[in-house]
Formats: sequence, C-alpha cells, structure tokens
Amino acid sequence: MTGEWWRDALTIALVFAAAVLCLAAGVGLLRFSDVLARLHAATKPQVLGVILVVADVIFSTPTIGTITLGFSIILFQALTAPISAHMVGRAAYRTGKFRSDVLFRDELRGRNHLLGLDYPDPEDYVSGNTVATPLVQEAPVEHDPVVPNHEQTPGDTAR
Amino acid sequence: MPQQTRDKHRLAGLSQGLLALGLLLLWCLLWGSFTPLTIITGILVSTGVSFTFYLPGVELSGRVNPWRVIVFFVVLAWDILRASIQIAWLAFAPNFKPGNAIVGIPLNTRSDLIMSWTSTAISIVPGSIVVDLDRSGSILYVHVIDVHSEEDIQRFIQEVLDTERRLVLAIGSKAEVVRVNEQHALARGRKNR
Repeated sequence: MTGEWWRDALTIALVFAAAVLCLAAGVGLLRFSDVLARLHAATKPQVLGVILVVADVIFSTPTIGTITLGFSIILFQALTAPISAHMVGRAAYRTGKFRSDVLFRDELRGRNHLLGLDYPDPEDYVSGNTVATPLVQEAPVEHDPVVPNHEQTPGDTAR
Repeated sequence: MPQQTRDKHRLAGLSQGLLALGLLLLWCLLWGSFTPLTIITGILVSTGVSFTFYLPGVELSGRVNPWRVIVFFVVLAWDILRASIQIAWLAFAPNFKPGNAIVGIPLNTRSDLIMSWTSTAISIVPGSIVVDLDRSGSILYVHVIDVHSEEDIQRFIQEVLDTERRLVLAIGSKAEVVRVNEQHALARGRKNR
C-alpha cells in the first residue's frame, strides 16, 4: 500500500511536468516570431516531455519489454527530432522564409555561394525581389586589367 | 605506409561490424526480448540491411574513453533538462522580446563523425538549431534563440566548443584531443587575462 502511494505520486509529477512542457511547446508555436524560432518550440520541450512520459511508463511497469521499448523510443526521438528540425530550418533559411529583423546577428547571410548554392540571397526574397541575381559577380572582373579574359570555362580553377 | 592502410581497413571493417551489432541490439530492443529466436533473426536482418543499404565506412578514431562517454551523456541530459525549462519559460514569459541570432561557429575538429555528433548534440539541447554547415571548414551555422548581446553569443559559442571538447575527449583520436586541449587552454588564458 505504501509502495503504491509514492508510485502514484511519481506518475502524477512526471505526467504533469510532461503536459506542461507540451503546453509550452504549443504556446511557443503561437508566440515565437518566425519559422526558425518556432522550430525551437515545436521540437525541443516535446523531447523532454516524451522522455518524462516514457520514464513514468518504465517506473510503473518495470518489465524488460517496456524498458527496452522505452529506451528505443527515447533514442529515436532524440535522434530524429534534431534532424527534422535541421532540415526544416535549412529549407526555411535557403528560401528566405524567416524574419531577418528579429535576428540579432546573421553570420550566414551572403554565404550561399560558399555553400555551393544557386539560390539568391534570402534578403532578396524578403524585399520581394525574387528574380535571382547572379551570385558570381561579373562586374569587378570587367574592370580588372589583370584578367583580360573573364569568360573562363567552369572547370577552369586557375586563380 | 602499408601498416597504416591495413589499420584503416581494419577500422573500416570494425565500424561495419559495430553498425551491424547496433542494428542487432535495436532489433532486440524493438522486440523487447533477448531470446535465441530474436537474436538469430536480428543477425539475419542486420547483415541483410548492412549489405543492401551499404554506407561508406565511418572513420572511427579507434579510441574510446568510457568515463568521458558517461560524462558526455550526463552533461547532455542536464543540458536538455535545463534548456527545456528555459524554452518553456520563454514561451510563457509575459515580457518576451524576440532576439535571435545565426552564429557561425568554427569547430576545432576535422572529423566528420565528431562534427555530426556535435551538431546532433547541440540540436537536441533546446535553444539551438543547426541551420547549415560548412563541411570543408568545419563551421556550424547555428540558430540561437533568446540572445540579446555580444556576451550571450560568446557564452553560447563557448558552450558549443565545450560540447565538442567533451565529445573529442570521449571518442576522438589522439591528435584531435591534443588540438582541442590546446584550443581550450588558449581560450582559458584569454578569459583570465
């Protein structure tokens, strides 16, 4: 009887904490500013919530079956949530679907050509100019007397 | 030189074996039992999967420090707990002001394995998502939530580098450990000055 009492208390505490975390995820999804910030709310507190619920299931029915299944659930959640968040975030950034005005700093801006992408700069999407501007700047080459022939073949990597 | 290539082949074979062993363990976890039947079917399935979905061999460093692995996972669990509460509080905070940043963080490591594990680890921890990464320069571009000043950003970069260091100390090669420790000493010296 006394053993059952603390088990119930533990269940209440864990499930309540998990529910609060899931609620926070929902509220954050509404309140945060853009896709990138909402991803934090959508993917992260929920991982801890799932861990807490699974931990409670393991505590209340501690058989080998539930323990192993619980561990594999936690493993897959912890491995897949960051990767899906990364993929959505990357797609959002590359297509410019984010608010640059809430970014305190953006060190990725203008790096698309470094990453080997043919996308225009996200700023162009934000300003409504969706016509792809050429990423390889041709203008300085024309004024450069050192390189007279600027129509090099793509495979030519001589510098 | 032949000795080195032989070592490399041995490590590649070892990593394939470890992968198959991991699949076997996963199979048993999913069935929830370790009976001879699940183990035999698991061996069949894992060898089948490793041959049909062949992946290039992961470059393992061949060095594992069990104590450091435990430290890494304990700190990771603590980080998840701490940061989940922080994000949950942020969602409810009445005077919440958006302030995010995308920070490029140059890692010290040159190993693909360490880089991908570091990015997974900092992505599990709430408050940071890897948006993009530059593999040739080992630069992670991380979206951080709730930063408002230069100090916040510096603190976050230090956290990521600490995560990387813990990982390298756990499973990195000896050369990587030396490099990471040097960088750590440098950073510490800069802070104290």
